[in-house]
This record gives sequence, C-alpha cells and structure tokens, in this order.
Amino acid sequence: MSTLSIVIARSPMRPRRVLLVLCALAAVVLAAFFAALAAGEVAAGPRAIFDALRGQPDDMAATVVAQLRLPRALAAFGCGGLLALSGALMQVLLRNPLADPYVLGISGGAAVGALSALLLGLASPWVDGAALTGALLSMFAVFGIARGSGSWTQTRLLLTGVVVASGCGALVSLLLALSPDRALRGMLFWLMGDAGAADRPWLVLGVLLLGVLVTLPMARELNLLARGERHARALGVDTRRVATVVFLLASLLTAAAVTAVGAVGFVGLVVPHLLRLVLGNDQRLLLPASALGGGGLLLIADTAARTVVAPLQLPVGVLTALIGVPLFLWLLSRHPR
Amino acid sequence: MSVAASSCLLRARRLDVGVAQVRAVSGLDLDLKAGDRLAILGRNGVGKSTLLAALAGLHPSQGQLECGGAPLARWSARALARLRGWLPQHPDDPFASSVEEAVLVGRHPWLERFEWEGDDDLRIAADALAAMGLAGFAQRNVQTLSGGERQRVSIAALLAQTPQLYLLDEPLTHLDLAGQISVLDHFRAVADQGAAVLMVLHDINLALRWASHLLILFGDGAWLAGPVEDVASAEVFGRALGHPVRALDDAGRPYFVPA
Repeated sequence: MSTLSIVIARSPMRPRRVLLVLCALAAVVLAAFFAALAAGEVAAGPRAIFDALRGQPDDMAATVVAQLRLPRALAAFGCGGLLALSGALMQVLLRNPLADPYVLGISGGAAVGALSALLLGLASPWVDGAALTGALLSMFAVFGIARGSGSWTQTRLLLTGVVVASGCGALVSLLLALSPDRALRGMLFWLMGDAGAADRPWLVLGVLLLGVLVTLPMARELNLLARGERHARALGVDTRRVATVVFLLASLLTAAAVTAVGAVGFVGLVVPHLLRLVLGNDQRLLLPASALGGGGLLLIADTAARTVVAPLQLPVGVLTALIGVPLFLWLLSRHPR
Repeated sequence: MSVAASSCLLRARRLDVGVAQVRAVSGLDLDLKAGDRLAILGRNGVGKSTLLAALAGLHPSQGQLECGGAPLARWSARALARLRGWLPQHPDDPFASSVEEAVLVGRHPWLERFEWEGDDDLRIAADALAAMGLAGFAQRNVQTLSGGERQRVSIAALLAQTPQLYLLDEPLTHLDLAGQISVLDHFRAVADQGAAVLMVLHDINLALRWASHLLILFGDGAWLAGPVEDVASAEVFGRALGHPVRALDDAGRPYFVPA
C-alpha cells in the first residue's frame, strides 16, 4: 500500500507541543469564524458581530449575523470537524490511508434516505430524519454482515462497506433517474453538500465534542491499532472493544454530519492526511487537530461558497476540494521523499 | 501479579494448537525457565507462527497454558503485555511514522491511560535502538527503511517492551549475516539476564549456535522437544525439514548441511 504521508513531525510528541499546535489551529479557526460572520452582502462590522454574539441584535447587520450567519458558521465548523475526525478514525480502523467517512456506506445510506424523502416532496425535518435513518441502517447492515461469523477483519469490514456503499450508489442513481426535474436541483445540492440547510448547529457541535471526548482517552491505543491488530493485542490493547467503539463512533459522527449538511466530499479524506504531513501520525494530536482543521476548512469553504459569486451560492463540497487540493499538493511537493 | 524468580515463565501441558486444517502441535508439554533459549524449527506451513501466537495468548489453544505461574486467561491484557513480548512476522506500515515512535509503542503497557512517554521511556527506546545498531535512526521514517532495518526496528520495539518472556517469529528475516549474529548474541545476553527467549528459526546451524533447547515440528501435530544435545541429529532434521541432512564435523561440533 502506498501512502501519501512522507514527512515526519519531530518525534516524540510532547504534551506542550500538542497544546501549542492545537492553540495555533484554534486561532486560525477563530479568525475564519469572525471572517464568516463579517462577510456577505450585508457587511457586518465588529460592533454588529459583538451585538449578535451577545444575543442583542439591534440593527439589520447584527440580525443577519445572529439569525443567518452565526448558525450557518457553527454548523459548517461542526460538520467539517465531524467529517475530518471520522475520516481520521476510519483510516486507523481500516489501516488504509484511502479510507474516508463514506467508505463504509454511511453517506450512501443517508443519501438514499434523503433523496427518497425529497422525491416524496417531504419537508426538511423529514429529509433530515430520513437521512439519519438511512445512515444508521447502512451502519448496522455493514456492522452486522462484517461481524457475521464473529470475527471481523479489516478487509472483511472494508469489503462489506464498499459493497453496501456501491449498492446505495446504484439506488441514488435510480432515485435521480425517477425524479421529476423540479426535484433534481434540490437533490444535487443535497448530494454535493449545503451548509445553508443546517438549522441545529448546537446539536452538531455537541456530537463533535462527544466524539473528541470519547476518542482522546483511546488515542494511544489507536496508535497501536494503526500498526496492526494482533500487534496491538500483544501490547495489551483490547482491540475488539476499541475497534467496535471506533466503528460505531465514526459512523455516528458521519451520520450526524451528512444529516446536517449532506455528503460534503474531500474534508474527511484529505484533512487527516494534510495534518499528518505536517504533524505526524500520533493520534493524540491528530484526532483533535483533525476536528479543528476539518471544521476550519469547511468554515472557510462555506464562507467562500456564499460570497465569491454572490448572490449565487456554490455547493460547499466543490469549494472544499478547490481549496484543499492545491494546499495538499503544495504540501506534498514541499516534502520530497 | 509478579513472577517469582524460580517459577516457570512458560508452561504448557497437553496443549493442542491448530488453525484451519493445520494441526501445529498435539499434546505439547513445554517448560521454559529464566535463561532458557528455545529455537522452533519446522517446514513452511507446519504451524510455527500459529504455535508462537498461541503461546503468546493471541491465538486459541486447548490444554493448559501458564505464563509466570498463572493460567494465561487469568492475566489482564496489560499485565500480560508487561510480562511477555511477541515479535510479529510481517511488519507493514500503512502510515508514515518515525523510527522512535515505532519503538516507543513497546512502552504502551507501562504507561497509564493519559500518561505520555517520559524521559525514562525515551532512554529505554534509545538503548533498544542502539542495541539493534540503529543509533541515529530515531527520526527516520519507517517507510523509507530497508527490510533488514525495518526488522531491527521491530525487534527494538520488542526490547523496549522489556518483557521477561520473548516470543520471536522469524526475527532473522531480511537480516544480513552480521545482523543475524548480533541479534542472536543480543538475545543470548537477554536470556542470561533472566529472561526466557523463544524464536522461530529456519537455519539449523544458527539455531544450534544460539539455542539451549529445540522444539521441532514435524507436521500433523507431531513434535519433539528437549535440550539441543538430546534433539539435534541428522535424522531428526531431515525428517522435519523435508530434505535429507548430514552432519559434518566442525572442530568437534556438528555442522548440518543438505545431503
């Protein structure tokens, strides 16, 4: 298996350095957050943003910030963090650098659910509910089938997930083919991801916090799991428990993200790699850094998506790729083998 | 649990180990004490790795298996990891990592959940690297190492684990002659300091040079174990390895060559 990772951050990782890196990332995210609140057709100054954050918007700009931009920015950050964290976890679980949050069919199931609801003309809460149901159904299908005989290997899990995902892909194509033209645009936006549709940012942020809090105590065990299941077991890791928790958690994180913003691509695959290039592969740093970095990238991409060709809105999934690909290629070329 | 110095580090009674259609050993009786060096010999696919994994508690087995005076099942995974170390056969690295990080994984069972590797752990890892002739490699990427260098990194990780019972699956793979001898010499010293060492080997003469005891697998569960001088013979090696072997005289010691 070839890999994209080539450069090693100076090892070993020390707690102080981890804190420093995370603080630096948080500062970038905070700057992106204020830029997201300020940017748009109605320019908002520091005063309006401050009023909006205090919950006392008293002019137009502050109202726009409080009611539109703030929830959208929070949701974009939360979902980006969910996807990147989930991607980092899947890559470790499957020991495969090409794994992403969608490889095990979670987003496929969500897409089938959401598109079915859209086809039936249901209102947005029902679409979210259908997406979540579809995601959970495919998660349990993959989990059940891969575990069928009691033992599960990474290959078996990956194969099951890939097959379920491609089955869902076929169903999505079928739904698109059956849909009337007027429903198609909404469906395509759902498939490409749209942070404007997210209306419960605190829920997303809560799930993200939960994900970080559950994974951090397991981070060193995940370092070992990435080096091989049996090797990790020989070093005292209860790999069965860790793998089950990681699978369920990564699936839930993905389900929460795709339910909120749709299947935004790229973030979950490349943000963990991007950070690995710079920071190394110690999960104790990589996992929280992925949460911050993924959130930051989606926040910036979403801000660009709604401002660069305003009043038109671009699908945010396109922007994440357009921002991420050059950044990634630049980092890759800076560190020749 | 701690291990009394006098007790057996590894004790098997009527142990059956197999995988799929392969029966590695039937009714194996084995005792390993501190200072013992056991080499396991046998043909490809006879179940050597499976047996080693079973002895490490990483593969199911039937019968009685005790480690450090207590049944294997009674040990917590972490306590067992402090007592016995296992060297996997094919290290592969899907992700980049520094050599130092790869060696520090051996310290995992000694660290609390939220504890970070301290200066002692770093010193142990550096010593392990130096013992494997890899001083100065700490910041190299494991993915850029040669096969032999990667193998020595794996062994260094095992040394950093500081167990008392070492189970090594073909530790000499990819090593050049100097590397093979230095690894064997190092594990002789490790055993002399109070550990028991088991390794799967393929070279009869290297095994004889290093081991105090031999375990020969003949296939279909048949086995023969004992001190080197009781077990080593051209007839036994020929039967176990699938090709006739004859003994030459090397200054009073037997040297075995294919007939």
